[in-house]
Amino acid sequence: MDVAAKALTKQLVVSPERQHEADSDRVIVQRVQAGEVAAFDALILKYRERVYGVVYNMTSNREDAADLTQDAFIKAFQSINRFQAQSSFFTWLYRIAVNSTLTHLRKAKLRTFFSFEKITDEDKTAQLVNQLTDKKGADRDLFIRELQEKLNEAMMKLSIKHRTVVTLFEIEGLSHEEIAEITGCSVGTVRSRLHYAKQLLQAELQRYISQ
Amino acid sequence: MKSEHPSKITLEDLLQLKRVERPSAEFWPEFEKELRAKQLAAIVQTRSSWRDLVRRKTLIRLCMPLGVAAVVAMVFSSVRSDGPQAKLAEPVTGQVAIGLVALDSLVENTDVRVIAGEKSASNIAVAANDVVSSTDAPSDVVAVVPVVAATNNAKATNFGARTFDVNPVMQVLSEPTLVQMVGRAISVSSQAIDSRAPVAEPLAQVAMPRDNRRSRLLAYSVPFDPHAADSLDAVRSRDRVTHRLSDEAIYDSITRLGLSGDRVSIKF
Repeated sequence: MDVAAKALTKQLVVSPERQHEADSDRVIVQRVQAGEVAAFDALILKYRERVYGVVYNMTSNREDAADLTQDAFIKAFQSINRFQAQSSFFTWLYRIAVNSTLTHLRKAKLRTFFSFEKITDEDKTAQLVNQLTDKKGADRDLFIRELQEKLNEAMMKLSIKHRTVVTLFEIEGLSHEEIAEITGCSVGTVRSRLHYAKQLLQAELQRYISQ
Repeated sequence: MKSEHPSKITLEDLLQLKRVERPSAEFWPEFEKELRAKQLAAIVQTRSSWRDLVRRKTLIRLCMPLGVAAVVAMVFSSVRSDGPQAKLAEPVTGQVAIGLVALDSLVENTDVRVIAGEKSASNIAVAANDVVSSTDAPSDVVAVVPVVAATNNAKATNFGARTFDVNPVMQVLSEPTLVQMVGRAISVSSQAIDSRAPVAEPLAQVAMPRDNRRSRLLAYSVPFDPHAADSLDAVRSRDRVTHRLSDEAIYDSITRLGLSGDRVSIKF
C-alpha cells in the first residue's frame, strides 16, 4: 500500500471534526514554520488542557503532569520545523507528550506520588454520583474522594502501556487508529491492550460496578 | 453507598469521572508563566548548544590536523630513534670507540717515535704493529677513518666528547655515503700503514749482536755511499765482502788476541 492510500485510509477513519481540526492546525503550523512564533500560542491554548489531561491520567500527579505538559509543548516548538504534516498536529503533539510521560514513568517507576485534581461537579458527574450514593453534603464529597482514589489506584495498577491505552481511549476519546498512531503499535495491539486493561479495572472496581 | 444500583453503572461510567478531573482556572496562568520561562530557557539552551556544536566543529577542525601532525612527528621520531639508521649507528658507535682507542695508541706511538728521534727502529715497528693489530678487520678500519677525519684536534678533547661528537655525524650519514667512506678509509689507512713502517716479524726485528759487529766492521772496510747504494755494482761488491768475512774468520781473529795481566799477546 502506497503512502497516498495510507493517508486516505487515515482520513477515512478520522471523524469530520478531527479532519477540520487537523486542517486548521496545519495552517497554524505553517505560520509557525514560516517564522511567526506567536502563532504557536494558539496551539498551546487549544491543546493544553487535553495534553494535560492525558499526562495527568497517566501519572496521577498534577505537578508531574504540569511539568511534562510544558516539556511536551517546548519539544513540539523546538521540533516544529521537522513536522511534515503527514499526520495531524494533535496526533503528533500527543505522541510527544505520551513518549515524554512514558520516559518519565519508566525513570520514576518506584517513586509514585498521587496528587489529584478536584472533580468538577458537572451535570454528568452529579448524575453518576447520584446513582452511586444517596449521601449529601460532606459525606457525598467524601464518597467522591474515595471513589477518585480507588479509580486512580486501579489505573496505577495497570502497566504503563495499558494505562496509556485506557487513558487515550476511555478518557480522551481517541479512536483505535489514532491511539495506534500515537503509541506506534498496531490497531489490534491497541484493542488487545484495551480489552485486557478493562478486565483488570473491572476486577479492581467491582465494588462500584453493577453486575 | 447504595446497596442496589437503580441503573447499570459500567466501568466506562466510572472512568467518566476521570474526565472531569480538571485543574482549576487559577492553574493555567501559572502554567503559562512557567511555560514561557521554560520556552525562553530552551531557546537560550538551543543557541548555546549550537554554539557548542560550532565550537566543537572548529575545535575538531583545528585539533585534528595538529593531532595528526603530532602523531606523525612522534612516529617519525620513534622510527628514527629505533629504526635501521639507529641500528646502524649503534655498532658504528662501538667501532668508533674502538677506532678512537686505536687512534690514541697510534698518536701515542707516533709521539714516542718523534720524541725518540727515530733512534730505535724497533719502537717504530712496534708502534706500526699496534696500529696494524688494532686495524686488522676492515670494519675497524672503517671506524678509524671517520674519526681521523673528524678529530684532527683529538688531543684537545676527551674520549667521551669525541665519541659524542662523532655519533651525530654517523647518524646523518646515508648508506651510499658510508660505503664511499669505507672505500676511502681502506685505501687511506693502507697507504698510511705502508708509509709508516714495513710489516715484519717480531723476532726478525730484534737486532742480533753479530749484525751490529758486522755492520761496524763493514763501515770500516767498505765505505758506504748512500748515493751509490742504488747502483747494482755497489750492492754486489758489498755482498761479496760480507760473505767473505764469515763468522769463523771473525772469531778466529779475535782468539789471536790475548790479554793476560799487563801484557798483550798477538798470535800470527
